[in-house]
Amino acid sequence: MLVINLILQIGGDEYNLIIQSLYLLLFLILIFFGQRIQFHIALIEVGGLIKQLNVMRTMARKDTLHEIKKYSERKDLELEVDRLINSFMIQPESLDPAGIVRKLEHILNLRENKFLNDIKKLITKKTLEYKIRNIGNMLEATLALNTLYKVLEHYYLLAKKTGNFYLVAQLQMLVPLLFNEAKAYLHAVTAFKFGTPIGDSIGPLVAYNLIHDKASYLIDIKKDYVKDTDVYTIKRNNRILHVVKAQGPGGNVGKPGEAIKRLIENRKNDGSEIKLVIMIDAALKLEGEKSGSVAEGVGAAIGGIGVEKFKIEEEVTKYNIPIIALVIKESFLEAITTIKKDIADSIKNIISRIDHIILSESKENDEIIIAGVGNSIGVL
Amino acid sequence: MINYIVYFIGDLSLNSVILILLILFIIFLLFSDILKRSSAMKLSKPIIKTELICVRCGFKYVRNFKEDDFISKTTGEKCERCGGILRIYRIYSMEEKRVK
Repeated sequence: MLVINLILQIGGDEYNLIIQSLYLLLFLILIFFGQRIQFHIALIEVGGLIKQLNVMRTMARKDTLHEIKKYSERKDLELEVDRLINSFMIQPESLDPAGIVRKLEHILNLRENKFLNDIKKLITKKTLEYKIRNIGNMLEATLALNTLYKVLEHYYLLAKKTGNFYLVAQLQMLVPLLFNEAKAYLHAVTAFKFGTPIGDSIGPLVAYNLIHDKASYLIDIKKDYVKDTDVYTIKRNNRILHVVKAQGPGGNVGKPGEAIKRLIENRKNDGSEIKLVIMIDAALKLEGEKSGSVAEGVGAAIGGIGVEKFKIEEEVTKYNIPIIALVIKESFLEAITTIKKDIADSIKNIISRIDHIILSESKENDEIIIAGVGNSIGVL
Repeated sequence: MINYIVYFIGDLSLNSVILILLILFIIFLLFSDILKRSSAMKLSKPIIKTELICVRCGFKYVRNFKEDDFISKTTGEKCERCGGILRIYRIYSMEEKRVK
């Protein structure tokens, strides 16, 4: 009140002079310290988001730990979980790329087996295999969230330490996008805990529905045809379909590439041949695209680091087999959280698309491979 | 207090009114940014539904998801229409409700 009274006592001209001086001062401050102010504002904004990321990371870790505690009596669980969520994989050297896929496959298998075995060592009570797989998936999501947080925190601290405006500007642009990714991983932890099918399970879901459809006649089931992957042979539209899917209901993507390769080779050895390969997988949608919309193309529809894709491409090229891809568009969040109704509703449409492809691209009694690619969590 | 404010505003020049409005605008921007950020932090809890089908008569049921439900599982629940075994054939999430 005292300040206001003082201001009111000043005459009109003097008052305007003070206001104009203030404007000038503000102008000079912005000219000389503008970037520095911007740097600090950006740093506060990024710092706030990184703090929230830390909360999310802690929530994911707590949830995972809580789930493991249901099946374990070990006292060193926290230590072991931290060891697992800080584990890493070194990719093979690519200076001499010849034979890199074989090396990569070896490293990937090693990592996968070690990770699963380490989880099994944590479980002391009698637990179903699929539950252990789901815990593995929970740990994977927590690991991804942990890595994301550590990398962002590294750049944030580096920018703060060096006072580098351009580093923090890049972070300011990237962090909101990565924050959405982190939210997706946190939601994924819950989905894996419940063991519900996720958006990425659309491939195995289509395979399941195709096998159990009224128009399909089941001929043979080959469980564990290759590691963690089953093959169902059915008759549909007077064609023999070998349906490949990862083993469920635990979180598992199987080895569809190896299964397709072995199927093609085995059918060749038995005097028959595969005439067509159809792959069904989830694909990341562009912002304007509708979730659950289906697109058709050619090529191997499979994600991951590339080993399985390489095997499929090698094999279909060797025998000149046409390969058709059906992809279901989803956002990253939708792909790793419980499957949305819109996406689940697209299964009927995909099956009719498969029928249409089969009828137009093959003849009666032809043998066809249908691969439902993706995580088989929540789908037997 | 109100009289004081009215008297104060009446006595101000155009320059100072603009300055006050500018300060109020900056405060509004800061608060809206804080609100936006706090809403970004809110996580949504999905409503998960399980659809079951009677293996005998094909009648369909929808209920909330229970832990350990998975597609193809026979849950032990019986069909209200014919007493047949129910099998889970669909699990999906519906619109989400926001939680803090």
